[in-house]
Amino acid sequence: MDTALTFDLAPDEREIFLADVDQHLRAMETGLLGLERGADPILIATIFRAAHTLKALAGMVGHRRMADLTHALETLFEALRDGQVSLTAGATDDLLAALDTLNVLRDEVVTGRRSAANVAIVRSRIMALLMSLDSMADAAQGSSLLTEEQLERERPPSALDQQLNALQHQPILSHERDKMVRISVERLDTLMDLVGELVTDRTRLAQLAASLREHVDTTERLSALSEVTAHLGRVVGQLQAEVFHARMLPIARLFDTFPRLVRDSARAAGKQVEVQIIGASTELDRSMIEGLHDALIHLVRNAIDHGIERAEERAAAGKPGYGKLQLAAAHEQGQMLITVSDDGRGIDPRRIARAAIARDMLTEGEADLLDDAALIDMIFLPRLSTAIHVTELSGRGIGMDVVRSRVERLTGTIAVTSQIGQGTTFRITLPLTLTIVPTMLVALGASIFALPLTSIIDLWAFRDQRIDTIKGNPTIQCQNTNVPLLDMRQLFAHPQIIAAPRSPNPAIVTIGWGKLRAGLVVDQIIGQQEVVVKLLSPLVGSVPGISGSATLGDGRIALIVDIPALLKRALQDYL
Amino acid sequence: MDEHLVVFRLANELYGIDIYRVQSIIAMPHVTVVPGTPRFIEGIINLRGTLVPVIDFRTCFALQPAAEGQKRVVVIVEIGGLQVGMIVDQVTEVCKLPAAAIEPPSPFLASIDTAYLRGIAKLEQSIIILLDLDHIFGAHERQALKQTA
Repeated sequence: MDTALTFDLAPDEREIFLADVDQHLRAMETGLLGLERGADPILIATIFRAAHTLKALAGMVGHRRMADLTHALETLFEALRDGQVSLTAGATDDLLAALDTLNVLRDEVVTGRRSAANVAIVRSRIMALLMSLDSMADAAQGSSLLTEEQLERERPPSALDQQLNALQHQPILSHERDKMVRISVERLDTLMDLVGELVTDRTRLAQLAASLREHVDTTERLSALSEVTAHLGRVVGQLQAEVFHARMLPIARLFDTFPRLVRDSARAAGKQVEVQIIGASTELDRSMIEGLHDALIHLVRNAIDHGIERAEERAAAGKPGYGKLQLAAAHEQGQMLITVSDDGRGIDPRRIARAAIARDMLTEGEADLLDDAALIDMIFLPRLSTAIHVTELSGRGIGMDVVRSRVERLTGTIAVTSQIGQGTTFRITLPLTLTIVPTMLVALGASIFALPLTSIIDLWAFRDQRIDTIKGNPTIQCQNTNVPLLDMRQLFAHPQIIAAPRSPNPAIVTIGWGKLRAGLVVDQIIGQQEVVVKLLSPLVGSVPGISGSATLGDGRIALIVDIPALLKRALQDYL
Repeated sequence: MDEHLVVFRLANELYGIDIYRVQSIIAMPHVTVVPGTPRFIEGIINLRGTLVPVIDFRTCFALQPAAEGQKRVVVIVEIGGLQVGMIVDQVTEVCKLPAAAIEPPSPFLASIDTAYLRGIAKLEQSIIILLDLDHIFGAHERQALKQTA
């Protein structure tokens, strides 16, 4: 069989087509999940319109199978629209399966190949639903689609009819939507790169103007130059902020996928779970949204599998039968705060202590000394998180350490609080963007490294610090404790860096990440600078201890240090 | 079909690559070393705002390192959708060769990994070794890249 497919779609229209399809599929999914909670004629109307538009889109590009399936869905929703109904879980399963199939069909547009999706079977399920609906309308009994009480209800009042009518006759292009244009991510990234270069040039111009002022007497022309430089600086700053905001997406893009995931996982686990989403319009850099997805999936699944109890157990504990799972996002002090919380059974610190003792990670004496919060914090340790899963829980094999490393890769932090019987809350804190980072530039020989400011505690001249040796390792005082003193040359042992002559006047930068602290010996502190982060070429691969690179005002390249990775690697011997 | 080649010199040998893969040829810029990368990656350079990794072909082909202070150039090429700078001794010419002038690589030519040899062009005065850029990273380099990744 010939599996190649062609669609009536120009290459540059494809992204827009796919985005439209995604939008309608998402609208249908959200609506279906809403209908499962209760009848809502406005939701049905929304789903109907989404199905209708999708059918038209599919027809336009000549995607027959997609058009057929959406036609079936449209017919069903049209029938539903005439009565005030809610869907049973079984009917929702069938309809969600149809959406999954539509997603597969959507991907055919990308691959250009016919997928194995069996549209006929999915379509026949929809038609069966439709028939049961028809027969119910006749006999008003024996329904798999409608519950008895809903059947007893009357037709929607005429006010509702009007409302529905109004919804259907909404103009395709509303005033708000006309103000928007779609722009490809690539183009946005290019804009961002260009702005990055402008930022670099601005810094360079300012440096040049400053050095001119030092060497030349102030003249009228020079002050004109300073004025232009200052103005350019302001404009570039504003441009940078605008382009930066254009790259932001509401976190709804991420959160929207969860009601479905929660429903499916809860059904599989035989539990009742209600999702609550707060702050879905909070904006976040698009690169973060992609990076966060996995971590949130782990947290949500864990909450359903291991946190939230079965209905009987909840009833016995005097809790409502429906477990509550909350996903919340907010901007707080220039950072992004995301919380995932449940009202389940909570994490028992004594169980963690027992698992840690069994794995020789703690002695009984040490376990007694740790408070509950410190014990609960141990779930992020690699061997322990899996230990708890394997011995006491279902053994899915996803460790909390993985979640933490995902978050740290985005230069964020994650913390947990939990009360037995009350529930568990995970708090993820992230910077708003990974693209522009305020850093401290330091030199090692001819190489320049950029240390993100958020991790820097203090700067010292080497000669001003007293160095003590503990177990043969040099340490310095930092915030009233002794912390290891590390030679950055040895950490980044590149022949060219090792071979460069040492500075007669080295400096120490004290850095911290979580509870880890260390002093870094560097040749020279160059100064503070905002840098535009560029990832290293995939050809270079991921380099331990380096998260990216940036061009400086004078065209030189600085390597951006990945402080968490660096600290963890360097302090292995100390932990 | 004629072959359009950019020919460069490395030690005493001439190498040719498909001209359509060459984006630009630049004088040797300042190279920033990146600690923790495989040895054949010399570092990264700033190419008009884009950071591009550069590779020393002498290291790739296990030749003696270039003499201190020797003038060299970087040929910017595209491999697998990525920009890469190749450090060579000198670009000698751009030429057009009839396909008939190209012979398959001899199995006796053991000095470089034959996987990235496309053929040999014999001219009156000299021979040009044709490189296949898509196979320029041999098993050894790919392994090294995998380890860093």
